[in-house]
Amino acid sequence: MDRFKDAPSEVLTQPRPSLAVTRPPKVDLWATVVGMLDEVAERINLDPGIHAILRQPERELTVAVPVTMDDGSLKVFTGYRVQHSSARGPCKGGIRYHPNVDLNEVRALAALMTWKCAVIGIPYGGAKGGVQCDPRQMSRNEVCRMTRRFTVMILPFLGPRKDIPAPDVNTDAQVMAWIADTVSMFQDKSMMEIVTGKPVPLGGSVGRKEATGRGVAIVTRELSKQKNKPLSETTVAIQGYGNVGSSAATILHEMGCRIAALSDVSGGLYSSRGLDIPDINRHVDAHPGHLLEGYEGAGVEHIDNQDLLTSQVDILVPAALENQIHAENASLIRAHTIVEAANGPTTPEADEILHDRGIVIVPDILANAGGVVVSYFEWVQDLQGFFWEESEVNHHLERIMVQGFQKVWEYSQHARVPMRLAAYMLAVNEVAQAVETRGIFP
Amino acid sequence: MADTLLTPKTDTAHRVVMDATLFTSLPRPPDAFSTPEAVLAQALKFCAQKMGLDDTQAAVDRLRQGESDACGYCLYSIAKQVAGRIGLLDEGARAAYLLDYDATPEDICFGKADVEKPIIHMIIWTERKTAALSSLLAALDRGLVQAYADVLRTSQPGEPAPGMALHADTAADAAAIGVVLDAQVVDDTEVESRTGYAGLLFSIHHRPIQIWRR
Repeated sequence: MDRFKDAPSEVLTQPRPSLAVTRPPKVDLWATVVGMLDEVAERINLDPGIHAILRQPERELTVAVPVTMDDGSLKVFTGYRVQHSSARGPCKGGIRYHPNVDLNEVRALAALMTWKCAVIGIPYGGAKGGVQCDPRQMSRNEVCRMTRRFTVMILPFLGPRKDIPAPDVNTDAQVMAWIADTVSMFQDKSMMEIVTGKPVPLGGSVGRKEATGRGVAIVTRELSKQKNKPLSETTVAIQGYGNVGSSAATILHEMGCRIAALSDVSGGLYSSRGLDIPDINRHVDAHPGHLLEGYEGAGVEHIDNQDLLTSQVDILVPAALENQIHAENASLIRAHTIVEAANGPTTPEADEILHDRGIVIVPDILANAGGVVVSYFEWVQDLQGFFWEESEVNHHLERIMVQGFQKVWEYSQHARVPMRLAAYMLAVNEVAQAVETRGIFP
Repeated sequence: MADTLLTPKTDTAHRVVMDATLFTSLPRPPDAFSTPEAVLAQALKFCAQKMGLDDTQAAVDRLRQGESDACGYCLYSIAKQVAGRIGLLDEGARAAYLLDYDATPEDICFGKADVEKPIIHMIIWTERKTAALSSLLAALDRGLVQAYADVLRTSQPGEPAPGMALHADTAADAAAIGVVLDAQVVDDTEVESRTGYAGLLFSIHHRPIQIWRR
């Protein structure tokens, strides 16, 4: 994975920012993703032709999105939709609204979706989209008009058997509902299966909210099994107590783990005897900002986020933000296992340090795949027009996460490579096999 | 103070050019150095505009009814104004970012702002951290908390505002709100090494939005 590390480390060699510099150096994510593919291709001896196919997105669309703003002025936004690969099935990936969205970023994220769907074994390819905008400066009506116009502009790409968008940064169930409605109006029929991440009354799936956290808990349990460590003797620290972190904590607690440390933006809690998760959940539910702030319990110490990362536990679950485990704190981490619930919580430099220290990392591409798995269930239910009970959603999620984990764990052991590399090697191989089996048209 | 503000700065080391404690105590015109009350007034205007309301009073009413959208727009405008003011007052400030912990595929992006616990998560990138900047941020926060509590205060003592748990005692309301401005200051060294909150500036999945830059 040397090339995977190369691109970000280039940033470090750039000169110190001068007073004129007001933007952090930008990492070329697409170059990083292609570099990672090249490295994996070499390791798995990938056919050069297939390698060349996977080095490019299948389709890219850049669109102008004119929107009449509330004050009557006209503003033209730039939007993108990129389909990296449809070899394994319809393309799947979110749509994000952010001022810094660009084509290279969208390409890279589309490719990452290809690998994510492949490693967890759901029948999708990868896609991503975005509009360059700051939705917080816009009224809801403006965001709605922009979403509808963007949807129409990328409509040739979309379809329940072609490309199924989902929420991403700064988009949500409401935005998905607008997309589904716009497509339904154009097709003159109900097309709720065109997107996932919808509200449940519009065809969303029950169990979606807890899905990522549940998936994190399942892979954590499976890893403990592999290490012959009973969950009742396992201590866990979780950074981030939002949707993912709180679901993971609750389910791990129910499984018998001792949750020794938790943190959110307001600070952290630590108890070597284990925190009372149901009591903490009651506190968080009652807190106006849904925070840990103000929680007091017998034997509970207040800690900060850095204390949490370096706390004496068996398993550390970063469930908050990216780049939290970096070169400067990686050597201080005392957990012997890290389960990446957040996207990209470990920098490449830290990854290397942790690997050298023998710390096992369950990579984000696998650990937090529960969300996309239940998105897949949402699509399946929409296509069937038949909706499952939450127990059925959880049952199938369990099965898919266990299979995904075992596949990566066994390959990692067999090939003697870290789980992150094993996951990417398996994913690229899965997609390559699909390309090869389907053959090249015509 | 006016002299201080108008005097060209000749020293190379950056400094906060205004005593932070004076920020909230001196009467000022509604310009770059206006009071937290003026910042909030501007935020309510922005809120009314974005929500298609008749006037700022309507925005205040929405806030008092506990409407998340109204709170979200107010906080965004406050953040932009605060960032602009920090840029004016701190020569070393390079950029300011708004960080939304909930802007991920796992959470919703609209309607999350909590009227009773309004909070702006900001990252301020400055050449280097100074005590003066910390004091300025703390003073700004205190002023904003008080001004926000004043806006929400509608009812008689002991009687909650409609839809709100907050009550008519401003000091108690301010204490309940706690913090409006959660500003994390990062310096060049941290940006260079991408550590701490500076690491978030390089985020792909959780990227903060730049709301001001020099």
